[in-house]
Amino acid sequence: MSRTISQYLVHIILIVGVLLMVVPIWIIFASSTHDNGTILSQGMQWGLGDQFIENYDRVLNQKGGFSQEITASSMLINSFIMAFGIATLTVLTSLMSAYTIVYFRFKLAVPIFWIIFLTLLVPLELRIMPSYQVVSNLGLVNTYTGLILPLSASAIATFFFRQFYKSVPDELLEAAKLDGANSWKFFIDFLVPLSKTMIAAMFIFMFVYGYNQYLWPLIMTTDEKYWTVVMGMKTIFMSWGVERFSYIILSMIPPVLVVIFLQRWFIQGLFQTK
Amino acid sequence: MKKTFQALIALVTLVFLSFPSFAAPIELHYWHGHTGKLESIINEIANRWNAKQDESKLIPTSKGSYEDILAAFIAAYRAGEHPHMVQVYDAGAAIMVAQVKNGVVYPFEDMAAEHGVNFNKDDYIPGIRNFYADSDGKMIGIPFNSSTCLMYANMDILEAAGVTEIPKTYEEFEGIAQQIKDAGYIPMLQSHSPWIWTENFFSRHNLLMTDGNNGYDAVPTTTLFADTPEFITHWEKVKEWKDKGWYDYKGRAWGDNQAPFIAGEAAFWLGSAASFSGMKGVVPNFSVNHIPYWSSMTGGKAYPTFIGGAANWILSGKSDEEYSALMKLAEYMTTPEIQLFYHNMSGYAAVTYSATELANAIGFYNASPYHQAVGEQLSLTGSTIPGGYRAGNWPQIREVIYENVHKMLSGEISVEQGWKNTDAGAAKLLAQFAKTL
Amino acid sequence: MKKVQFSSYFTQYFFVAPQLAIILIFLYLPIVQTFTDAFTTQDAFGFGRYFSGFDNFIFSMSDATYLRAFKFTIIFICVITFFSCSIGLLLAVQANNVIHGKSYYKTLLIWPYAIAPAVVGVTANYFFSERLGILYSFFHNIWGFNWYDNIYDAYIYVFIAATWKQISANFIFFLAGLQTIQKSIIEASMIDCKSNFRRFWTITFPLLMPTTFFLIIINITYAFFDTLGIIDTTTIGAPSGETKTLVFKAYIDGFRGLDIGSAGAQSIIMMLIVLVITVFQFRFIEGRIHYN
Repeated sequence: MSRTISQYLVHIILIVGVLLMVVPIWIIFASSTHDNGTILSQGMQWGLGDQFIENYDRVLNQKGGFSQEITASSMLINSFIMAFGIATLTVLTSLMSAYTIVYFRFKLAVPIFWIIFLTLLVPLELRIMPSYQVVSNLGLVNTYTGLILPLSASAIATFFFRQFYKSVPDELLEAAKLDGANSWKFFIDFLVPLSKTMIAAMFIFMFVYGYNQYLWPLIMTTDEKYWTVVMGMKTIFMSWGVERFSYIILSMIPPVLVVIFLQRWFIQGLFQTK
Repeated sequence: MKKTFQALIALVTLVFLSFPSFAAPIELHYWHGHTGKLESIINEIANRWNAKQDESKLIPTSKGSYEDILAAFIAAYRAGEHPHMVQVYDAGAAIMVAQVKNGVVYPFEDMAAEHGVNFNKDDYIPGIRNFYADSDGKMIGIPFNSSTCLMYANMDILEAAGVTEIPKTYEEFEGIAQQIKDAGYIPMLQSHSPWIWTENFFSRHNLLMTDGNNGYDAVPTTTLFADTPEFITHWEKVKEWKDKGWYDYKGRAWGDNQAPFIAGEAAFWLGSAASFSGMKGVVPNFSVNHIPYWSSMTGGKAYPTFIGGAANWILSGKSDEEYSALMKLAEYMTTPEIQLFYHNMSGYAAVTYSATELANAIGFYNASPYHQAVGEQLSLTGSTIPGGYRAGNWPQIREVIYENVHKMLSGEISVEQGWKNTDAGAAKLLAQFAKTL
Repeated sequence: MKKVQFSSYFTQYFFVAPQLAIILIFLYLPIVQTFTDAFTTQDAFGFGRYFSGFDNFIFSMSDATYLRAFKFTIIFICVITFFSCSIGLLLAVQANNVIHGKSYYKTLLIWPYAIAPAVVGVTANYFFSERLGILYSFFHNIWGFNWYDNIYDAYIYVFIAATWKQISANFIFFLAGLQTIQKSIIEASMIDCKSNFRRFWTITFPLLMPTTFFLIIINITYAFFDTLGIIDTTTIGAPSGETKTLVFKAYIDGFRGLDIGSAGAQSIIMMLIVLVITVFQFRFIEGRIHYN
């Protein structure tokens, strides 16, 4: 097969893939720019309508909650703080503990790995009541800390970094040791820069995971100040019509931005220089 | 890289430094399960109360759906973080009444005896009052958002089909169904099989649904679905209607069954009184009517339906000052003015006679005839069965009903077999609940 | 294990301590509670507690719905993992090979990953509703698709929604994995092996094994646990409980139905299932992965 033909094939596959992923969201977006009547009578729309500004303005500035101080924008900020906290904390702690597990010779490495790994088996939905009790005993109800910490207890990132560290050639550590690097220096100067792509991927993963939480913020927060966008979707904005589409689109923007921004890291081809 | 690290650590620390907000004097926390339009109505009531007096401040919080709120409040209770008042729905009534003996729930009537000023038990419409009362008739929950199942009719479709009278009974419906079908419309839809065509079938026909006198006299051990010939006949009819195209089944989701009615494709839809606020202004020309019954089964008599919706429950562990403030609030929420406001805005029933009288006095029902059906249907008399049911694990029993209804309607199993299976499933769940009492 | 390692008593604990602390407090404490609940009969508020042995387990497992959910969950995991991994891998390989427009393709394929499961569910709902649904009418015209009635059509509905949600995730990780494979290895192999297809399976894919292994575990836990939000917003278990997963059932029984004992027992059974799957994978798959 010549190179040009195979490139055509590559493009065709990718275009089909892109359509598969983008069209459903496009239809939601297109529908969000129509008025309620059109959606109710004709269903979802492929083309754009003329209600874009009206719908989005209503969603962004409509005040909700009892205090009438809650808007979609204030909830977006809360969601962002929660997601950012969860992603940062998880990536940081997992990067470190995976380092111990792979690079240190001590008896507890394997048991510790399993202690961490077993947490994959119990999602928050199944331990939500006891988790609430723990958080409330620590006085963390209605705090960002209470929103963030229980969701940062995730083994996925640790497992992921372990997989990656294991695939890093042993020669790297040997070379670093010859240069006189100690365990700190090796971690910060060699391993972390090497893991940039992986850190970006895991940050995206945890950010999106945190951002999309519904049950935990709902149980945890009684103070409207801490409401997040995803729980707002099911509470204050539930009875809306076409605005719901606008809200779905708006609520996606922060994680989408994080994803788009961080995916640049993949493209840099970091490994060529090492 | 080091700098990035330091920045990250600084940010994380910043996030950690946020502390919980401090509490103000006599705040009354109220968790409810209303969202959207209904939530704004609750907020309006709270604002009016807070503007009227300054002893206490009502802070309502929406906790999502009825199911979410029950779990959220139980989690909070177990951690000692519960609010003063919580809204719990009909299927949770058994759980709440059972918790009186454990001191979780402070019975409304006890609070009224201690702190009440204008409390008048007889003002509450008995059908509504008794649903949330214990077996001696002592009020445990405070009736608030009381709905029931009603029949919505699209008047334009009826006119197009040449139907002049809205059917009061299922026999009358059978008389006109083919006419509506021939005109190109779906004759009937129904949105909640466990609630409307199961629980309320029993109350509407004055039949017992479980042993132990619907659980009021003894902890129920079994449901009486397959043992009630009238009930089996009804569902055999429903299946027959479905096969004839007189009734269309759109799965178990509430909205899927309501959608064709909203879109003007169905003549009748059986739904909730609370659906009114969402349909007003959306569906052009509809009327709200009593739910039909089989006149052959009741000897032509119409019996009341069960109350749906939810009640407010006072929780224990608060101070006397707080309860005194709560009692004033409870009295305020049942004043005729607030009841009428709520009734008008939401479509829920007014829970007191004085509110109904006020409504009549000002000619409210002439101006807005929609609102009459719910109160009338709940105030019907002559039932010999209790005004509710006390059966535990009822949310899961509703799941069993949903599943078996589907199998019956798709023809996978016979109607009788379906209800036999449901009884068996329910009996297991009732036994499981009984173990915890 | 690495051939060369550090051994520093203080540092090793320092690195692992933060995560261990969070996990012990926020995961193991609640799990201990779950275990106690599973062997206890109690009401939702925690009153009337008494030790009841395996009653809760027997109660849960003797339920026909439970066995159905078990069967469905297994099918669900296999289908989702297979399709979302294959499609994600196919797209990642192409995106890595494409010469023009690389970054556009990547961006367009990655961003749908950001969408919450519940939102995917709500969206899928619109596509599969009898009234408005584009996919509903498309399938309906081909073979009379009707998920309200037909079990297999309901399967298709949740499979599509859940798989779609996971394609981008697999794409991201396969792409990240491909990026870490050194160009020089691939270039060297181009000389030995002219066929793209063969080169992929003999050189690239083995090098991707650590990522694949990670993704299989991710997809299994996704299909097992994270699809709750999708089921809850699409079929809710329709037609008659056939599309309930084990987690959805435990959620309905525990969170909605407030039967804490039974939910605790179901959680423990689930932990055991996932544990068996993972131990199996570690023993039989990880042994074959070459990390260097």
